[in-house]
Amino acid sequence: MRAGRCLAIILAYILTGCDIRPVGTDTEGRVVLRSIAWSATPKDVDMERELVRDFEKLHPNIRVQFEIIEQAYDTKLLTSLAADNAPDVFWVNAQTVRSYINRKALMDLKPLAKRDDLSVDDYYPVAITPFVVDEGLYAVPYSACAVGIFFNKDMFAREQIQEPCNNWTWDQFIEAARKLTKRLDDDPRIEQWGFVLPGDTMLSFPIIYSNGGQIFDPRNPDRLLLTQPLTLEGWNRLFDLVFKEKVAPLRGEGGDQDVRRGFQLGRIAMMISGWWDVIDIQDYAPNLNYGIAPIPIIHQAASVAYTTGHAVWSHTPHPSESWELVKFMTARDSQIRRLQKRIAAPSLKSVGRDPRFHANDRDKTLFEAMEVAQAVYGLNCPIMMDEITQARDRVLQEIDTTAQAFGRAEKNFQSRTRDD
Amino acid sequence: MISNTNRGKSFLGISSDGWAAMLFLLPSLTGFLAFIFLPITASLALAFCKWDVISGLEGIHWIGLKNFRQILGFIFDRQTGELLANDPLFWKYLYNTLFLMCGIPFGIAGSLIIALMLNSRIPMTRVLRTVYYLPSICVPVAVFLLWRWLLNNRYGVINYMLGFAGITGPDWLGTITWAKPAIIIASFWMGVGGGGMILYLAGLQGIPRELYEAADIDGAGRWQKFRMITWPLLTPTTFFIFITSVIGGFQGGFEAAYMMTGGGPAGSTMTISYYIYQYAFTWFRMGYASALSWILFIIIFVVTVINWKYGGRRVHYF
Repeated sequence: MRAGRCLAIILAYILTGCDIRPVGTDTEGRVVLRSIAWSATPKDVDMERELVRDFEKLHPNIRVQFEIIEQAYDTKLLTSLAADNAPDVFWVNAQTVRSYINRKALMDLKPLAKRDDLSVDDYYPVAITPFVVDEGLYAVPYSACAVGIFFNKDMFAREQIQEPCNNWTWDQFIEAARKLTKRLDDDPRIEQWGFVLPGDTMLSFPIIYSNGGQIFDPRNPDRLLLTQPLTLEGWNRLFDLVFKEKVAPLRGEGGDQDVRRGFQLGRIAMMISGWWDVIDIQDYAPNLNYGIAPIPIIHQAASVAYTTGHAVWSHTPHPSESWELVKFMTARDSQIRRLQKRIAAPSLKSVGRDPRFHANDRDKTLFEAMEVAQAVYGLNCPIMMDEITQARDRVLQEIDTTAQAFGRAEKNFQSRTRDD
Repeated sequence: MISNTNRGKSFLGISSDGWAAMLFLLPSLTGFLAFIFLPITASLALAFCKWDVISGLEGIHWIGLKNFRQILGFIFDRQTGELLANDPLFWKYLYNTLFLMCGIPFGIAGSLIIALMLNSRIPMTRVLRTVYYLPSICVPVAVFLLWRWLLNNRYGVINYMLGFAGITGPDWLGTITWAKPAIIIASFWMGVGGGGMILYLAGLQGIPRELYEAADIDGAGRWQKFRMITWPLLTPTTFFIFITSVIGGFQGGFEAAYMMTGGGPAGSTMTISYYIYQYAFTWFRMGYASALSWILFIIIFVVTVINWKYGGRRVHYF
């Protein structure tokens, strides 16, 4: 067994080229924890470091080596897990967490949460669900953000269109998009679009949900429901914006960066996005006069949530200390501090519903969208996203019909995940 | 000749010179064994296994030829009467890889033209050599990110310039028709002044001046000199560049696709190497990724053997 473990480490080390560094205690006898997070803005990094420093002050027996992974976060985490040298605490998101849970890479935090009376009831269900498997709790969300329609107020005012209200409908949305789509007279090459299909496929899901469709079975996230009539109808509504209504450009202008800049430059009137664009706009287009509306209602209110949590490595030599760090970083106070500095949206209902944080209409809309948002997760979520993205592109490239493309995606997904 | 007496005493049947030679070889040999031989052997073994990496050695399950059957196999669909690939994406991405290799002849021609230009007596040759070589020492990620913006159909400089000529530029990275040519253009820009050009320059400077002088006496023009002297004597260089470019072409395309299109639209810029990366590091299927790698290796090996066998006949040595 011991020889086998050694061999596994050597094999993983050779295959992945990772360095193996023993981490335990420092020269002053303090427990040293390693914690990693993915690349964020300098402001985010400063905030996280500040929280880590405060944690160290509170726990003088623990020192935290906090690292930001600039690129290929999941690849580096995977290789460090394979080399049996993973960080004690690391960020996970809803889309990939089940892969780690299934492979027993994450520690079940439920017993420690129970010991410390940490109730999961205060978390938005959509934020906590991806991290709970068979009663076990494998990560604690520190941030969760639903998405809405970002709209340019000046463009709406110029076209004398009433700004979207809280229960605006799909028809009202299309009507606004039609009026906002035009070719500018002074430069025929530059067009103004009412809407743009998001680059990130997951951002399209709220329209499907609003239409009453589903992407996967909520009771079994690894069973896709892409060919259900309401799901296909939802996708067709989106594609109609490009082909029938002609209020959105054929996507493929280089990804989300282009969508974002197009919106900030006033060439796109509406886009689907979340908290990250609130931050980006405040940094790069602070004078942009924009608002956030809920996803227009087709049959029901809907949104999707992006969730990030802190997880503990299942082989950590310091489970208690790691848990203390997770508790601190995801605590109510830490979430409020991040929110007040405009770093991250909270995962706690008690913070999101607190009227003190509703002074800003845009924040309020996004917090309220959390109540109707769905989470996107599953053991094979990355493969699911890959197949759905390819299906969406095949329809947009007019290679397949919606039914053909998504039928093929469902079949491919089954074939690729048959053994899991 | 070294006499036997100089070789010193032998130990375990190996002379002291032999031991010394081994000692000198040891650093390189250790590196080779640890970082090349062992990973290759491990990946060969893993190609017949299912392994998600995270589970450690206990998570490795022998599945025989299943990965290879899944990648290369076909099934007959009785309903439609069609022969369907078990993994249609593999064939699609192999086609993409081959398509992107269409840029190789252009790259070779471009390198030769630049080398010829820089080998002639034009002013500022040294500065120009550096300028042309610069793209190949730049970080590929930065170069391809730059090209992503240059080729942007709405805000990109290329379509803006085409607009002055009355041409409406295509949606380079957003349509399956133009995405692959766009990647070929960016890769061409990055590689044309690189290793190929340097090799051609060295090749050109190795051609004896006397041959050109003799041709001058015979009254040969510039084109005749190029066709009868330069080109034949550069064939070993061309052959080497072609072979290495084809091998690189099969292995490449990852960085450009990753940065410029993310493999899209509709997977039209995904290459086999990108597919291997996704299987290994995004979807945690190291066994399948290893099998893909070995299939890619066999393809490269067969193509290289064919190139040697048939391409080598056209090579002229001075």
